[in-house]
Amino acid sequence: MTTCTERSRIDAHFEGEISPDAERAMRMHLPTCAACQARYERWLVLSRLDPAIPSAKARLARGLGLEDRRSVVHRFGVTAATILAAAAVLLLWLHPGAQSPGFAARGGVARAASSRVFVYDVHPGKPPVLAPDSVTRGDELAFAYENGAAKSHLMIFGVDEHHHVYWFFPAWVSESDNPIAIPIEHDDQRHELPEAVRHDFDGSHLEIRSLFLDAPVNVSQVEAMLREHPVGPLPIPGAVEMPASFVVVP
Amino acid sequence: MPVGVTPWVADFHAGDRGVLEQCYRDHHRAVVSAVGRMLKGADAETVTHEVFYRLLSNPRLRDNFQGGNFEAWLLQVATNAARDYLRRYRREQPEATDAAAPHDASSEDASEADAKMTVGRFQRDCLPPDLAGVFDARFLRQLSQREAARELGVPRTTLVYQEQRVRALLKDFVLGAPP
Repeated sequence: MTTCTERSRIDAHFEGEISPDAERAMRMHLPTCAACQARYERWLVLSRLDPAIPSAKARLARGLGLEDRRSVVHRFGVTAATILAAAAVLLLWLHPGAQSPGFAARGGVARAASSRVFVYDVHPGKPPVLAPDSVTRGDELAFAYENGAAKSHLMIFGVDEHHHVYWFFPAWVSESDNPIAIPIEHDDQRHELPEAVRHDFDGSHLEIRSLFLDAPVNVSQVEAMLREHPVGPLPIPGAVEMPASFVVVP
Repeated sequence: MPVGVTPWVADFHAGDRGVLEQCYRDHHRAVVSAVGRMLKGADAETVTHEVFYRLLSNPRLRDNFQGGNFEAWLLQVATNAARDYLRRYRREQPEATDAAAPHDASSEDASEADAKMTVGRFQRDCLPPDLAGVFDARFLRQLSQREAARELGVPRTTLVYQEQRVRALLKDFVLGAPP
């Protein structure tokens, strides 16, 4: 099979990263190119299997420059029980009465109090609870966010008193990877991030920092900035940074 | 505002962003269904994009709606767009290969069969045995990570790591497969 130069646009479309102009160009090209049609069809097969690929509705919305505020569940082999279970988890976590654990935007960056992150302590065998000012060592931490500032990407990481960095989102599980900030919804609704993360904290104090960004930044860039700016906000234009301090309880 | 034109129609004609976004959210599924009666796969998604692209960018198209059943009007637009696509495509690409040809009515079944065959080949030829459980739980049954981790008896961080390995293998397998 030949490789067409337009192929990267198809990949960007399914990865939810395409601009409306590029989408339009891709759509004009697609019916005229057998190689690109074949790649698109294979992406469609992949999208039926991989829950990380956006739905067709979300993909087209992105390509049109629209925001798809609702997700559509139509996946290969998904069951009603799965949907109900997922809904139950969301209801459990995203109860409207939950209070912020103390995040506040800090200086040198665009200030938008409506973008914030909520930290939940997930103790084994118990429901997640909003972490007030402490987290238990060994527990998983889970997160939800509100994005009233309509930023496009989010990073969440922790820094202890020894300047050790613990990544929550994006996950960083291999030294050979250099993951980038995760894309987020552009509305002010509260959204649960889909997995909880456990780290073996070796300090007694943890500052969990959330970066709402206009463009994706990778973890290596952030760690380099942390080394140069161990105190205070990171120098990322347009970023909204939300720090919150926690005591790590043994 | 012309007599008889409701405020919603006036906003629609004016291209009000909120109204048009709501149109997409409310009628996407119906347009997909209408287009899907004539086209499948990439062709169907391209025409669906074309319908909403024109709705967003073409005031003359929007002016054609003068009130009444909006979805019926939009579905007629979608049907015409699918018909035009078929006509244009057949005229411009008389020697198209099978891979690029529009699908017939049976292609949905073929697509389902293709997906199942892909899964079977992936499981047989590519998936390491230690990742079979994660593939089944997360990709085939699409359990949440929480449910999958509980069912497999692993920490969720382990599940996330394994899921990433499966995702990379699956992507290489599906996108790297010959057409």
